[in-house]
Amino acid sequence: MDVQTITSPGGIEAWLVEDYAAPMFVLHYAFKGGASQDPIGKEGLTNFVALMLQQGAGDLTAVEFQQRVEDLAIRVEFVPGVDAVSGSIEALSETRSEAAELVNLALTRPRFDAETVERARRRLLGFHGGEARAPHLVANAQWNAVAFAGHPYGREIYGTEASVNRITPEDLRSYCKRVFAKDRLKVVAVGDITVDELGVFLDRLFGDLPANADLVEVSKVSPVTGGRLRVAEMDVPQSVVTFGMGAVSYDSPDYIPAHVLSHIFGGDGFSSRLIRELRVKRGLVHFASTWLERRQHAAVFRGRMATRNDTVSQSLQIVRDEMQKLSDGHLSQEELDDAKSYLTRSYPLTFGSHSKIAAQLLDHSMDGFGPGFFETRKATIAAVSLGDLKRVAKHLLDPGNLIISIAGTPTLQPPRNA
Amino acid sequence: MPLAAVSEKTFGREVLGAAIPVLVEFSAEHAPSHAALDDLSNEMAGTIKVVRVDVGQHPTLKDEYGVRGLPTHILFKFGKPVSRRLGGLSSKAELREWIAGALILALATRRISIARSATHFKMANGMEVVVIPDHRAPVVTHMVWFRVGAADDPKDFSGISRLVEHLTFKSLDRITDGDFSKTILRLGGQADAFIYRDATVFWQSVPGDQLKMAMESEVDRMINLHVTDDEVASERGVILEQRRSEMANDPGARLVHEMNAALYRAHPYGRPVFGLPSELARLSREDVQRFHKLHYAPNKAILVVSGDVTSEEVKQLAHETFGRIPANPNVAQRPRLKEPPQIAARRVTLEATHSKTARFYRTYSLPGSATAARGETEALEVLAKILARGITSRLYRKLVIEDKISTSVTGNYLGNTLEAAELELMALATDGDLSAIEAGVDEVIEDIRKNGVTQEELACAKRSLVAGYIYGSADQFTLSQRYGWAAALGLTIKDAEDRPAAISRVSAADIAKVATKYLIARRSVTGWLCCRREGRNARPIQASAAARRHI
Repeated sequence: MDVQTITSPGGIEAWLVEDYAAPMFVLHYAFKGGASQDPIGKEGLTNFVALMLQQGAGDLTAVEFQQRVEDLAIRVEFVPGVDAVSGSIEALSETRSEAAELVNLALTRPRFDAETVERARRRLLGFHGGEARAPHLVANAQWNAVAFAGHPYGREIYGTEASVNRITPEDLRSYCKRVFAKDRLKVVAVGDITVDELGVFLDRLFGDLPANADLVEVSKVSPVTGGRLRVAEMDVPQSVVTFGMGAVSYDSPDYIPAHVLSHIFGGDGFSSRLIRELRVKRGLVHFASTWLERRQHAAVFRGRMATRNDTVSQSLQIVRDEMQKLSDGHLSQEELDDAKSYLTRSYPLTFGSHSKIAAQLLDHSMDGFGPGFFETRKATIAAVSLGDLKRVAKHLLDPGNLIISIAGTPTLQPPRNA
Repeated sequence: MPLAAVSEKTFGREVLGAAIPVLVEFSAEHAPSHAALDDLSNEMAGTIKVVRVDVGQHPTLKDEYGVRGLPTHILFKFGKPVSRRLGGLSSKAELREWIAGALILALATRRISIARSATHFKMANGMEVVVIPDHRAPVVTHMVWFRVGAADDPKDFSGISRLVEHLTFKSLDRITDGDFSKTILRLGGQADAFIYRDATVFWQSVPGDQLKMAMESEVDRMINLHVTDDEVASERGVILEQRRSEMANDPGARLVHEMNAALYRAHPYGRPVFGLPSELARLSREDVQRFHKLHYAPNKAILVVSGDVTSEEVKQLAHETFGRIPANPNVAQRPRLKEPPQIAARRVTLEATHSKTARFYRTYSLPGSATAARGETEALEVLAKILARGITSRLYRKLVIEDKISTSVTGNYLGNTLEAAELELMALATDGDLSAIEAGVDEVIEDIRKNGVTQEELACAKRSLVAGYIYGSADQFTLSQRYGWAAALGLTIKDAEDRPAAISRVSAADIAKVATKYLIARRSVTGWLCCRREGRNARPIQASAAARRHI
């Protein structure tokens, strides 16, 4: 796969993978900023904006906008994130230019009609009363609030009922002006489009955005250390447990070893330490997994599992014990080789569609890697030694730093000393 | 204004070489056969070109394009005829709809051309094989479908099909000394399984050169189930946790489960998808081994391979692997209790423990892909889209935009079943007034039953569904699922591939017909998810008083 870096006549940069197998084209893009830009008291603003972007622009009302999307048989998405607002366009080659015009309209002339804003607000409040009360979201939100107290990362992307109620159409408008600008934009295109055609497309889509964004600086932050346990009481038969701690950032040489470690501890498949101990041997969980979380200003090692209320303590003890074993260096060359084999060989298999390729490359671009990363990644993983792994495990995986957030009614016993 | 005339000389340039689609009228008259054509030519200038061929003057063109009656209209796109119709046009709306449908279909045909060469054959032991070549990446998606699902759990043994599905993974690892899971992972592949009411599917995604390995593993899975009593016991625990995650912890899922039980009183579709915990707890090693023997056999299985392979390669590998397993003449049949006719509307109400957004659900029982009359499933799919999918849908406009009593609506036709299927609708209440939502839903449905749908909404819904089908074709997994379902339900490859064409054939009359026939109260169950009033019984979610330093 050949990733080209191109610049449009209007000066917009993008990565491009040309592929002419099918007459379709996918564009993924992101404006850095995201919910970390939500003003204090107006949490949920980014989320609100993203919901509104498909709700009418220029002369088109919400329904007309949607009809146009359906008429053109294109797919348009706006996705709010903590660090960015991203978007995607999927179009058959022949509806490409109309797609660019429509999305440009959404980014530059969103309507924010009072009635549509109120309709979206009702939807968001409904979310707070309903979906947001799912145990896993409650556990997650609580984890963030504890780990990142006082930092924008400690707030939820969807805000609170009170903050959603405070957001005005003027807030929405000014957010778009501050965030949607060319200097904070990352773009990846995949599919049936040439370099020149992409240049024209990019200028049509983004050309008339302001040159510079006006963002609030977000400071680097680390999750609290020393360990925390917090329970959100919920009347459910099964507790959802989110656990985790600080990790290493992308620019650290320890990042890739940490990635390998996370796979061994709680990665995909039936072979991870957690799945083996919690599920295969004891039938305590249906799922348990860990991962390194993508964030621009913090490095996080995170995990999740769910188990019935009276086995939470037992399961947590196993998580701590397994973590301690890794920290103590109980790691074999065979495990490392298996993990490396999986991580290098599964990666190209994830490039199953234009959209998946674009999403993956955009992540790399946002994380500050170059267009060649997807190739050097393999060599970097292959170079990880058992020594690296043990060094990183010792430094990273201290069970004493575990921040644990539980949603449910767990029966808890104090942990056994490891 | 007369339409531009083209001749044998200019046909190549004006029609075949045009950058935009061209509608050609073959007629013997000098005037357009219908005034609408002329209008359309002006309205759609730049998007579509309309020209005419005088067949009297240019008989060669008439013969070349097989024009047998007059007038005939043929739509050309990039030099190829994509659709044709014979006879006069009745209205402009009809003409527009035909053009839009034809163009969308033309896209579909091009996009899914990778899937058009799918082949199907049956081996001597009764195992069916579907091969879908797709050479974009050196990857294959390998699936084995068994014609057994949750609805085949014997009475008092609910949950057994799922328990067996789970345990086959433990058994495979035992046979291969833990190697199956590890090998798949080392290769960077993925493996999983799904269990539906009528089918169980084992799936792997592996590099193209590992197809044989995947097949050998599935052969092991089909002929062996080696597990210990302890493994059966611990896996029952895993299923109970899965049941808690996916159902018990989620009030909406619990309500849907109750609605299902209300809709099917005799038929096994009414049974809980995870089994009853009390029945699950009693399942033994002997039970699961008996079930495995009765259902996991080549004559109950379908192999679906999509990806970087040819039909010949798959045929040879399948014969070398699955071909070794003899058919089992004693496989279980699927005798299922018939559901007695429903004579009244049913309803279920559940009080949610931790949600304060009330929800309205409505489900209709109606035919699925295997039981519906020709054209009905497509009509039901289009109907579900028009009713409840997206902000252009009827229910969204009525409940969310006009009446402001709901904040979100969705709807689905779930047609992949052997027997009955469902059309389900859901709406989130703005402030808990579920009776207002119910009245609104009934009003919208009554209106469609009485007055049908408009040509515009029909065309728009069809375009959107066909486009969704096209985009889905880009994904090997989705592609394999389509063919797998068709085979599992006794349909043909052609049925699967003709889906977009069948959708674009749906007429307003078809929609009116299925709406009148099936969206009736005595086929329905209505579900209300109510909320305890906050501050009285409800326990608001609160962090426990102190963030204890506990470690």
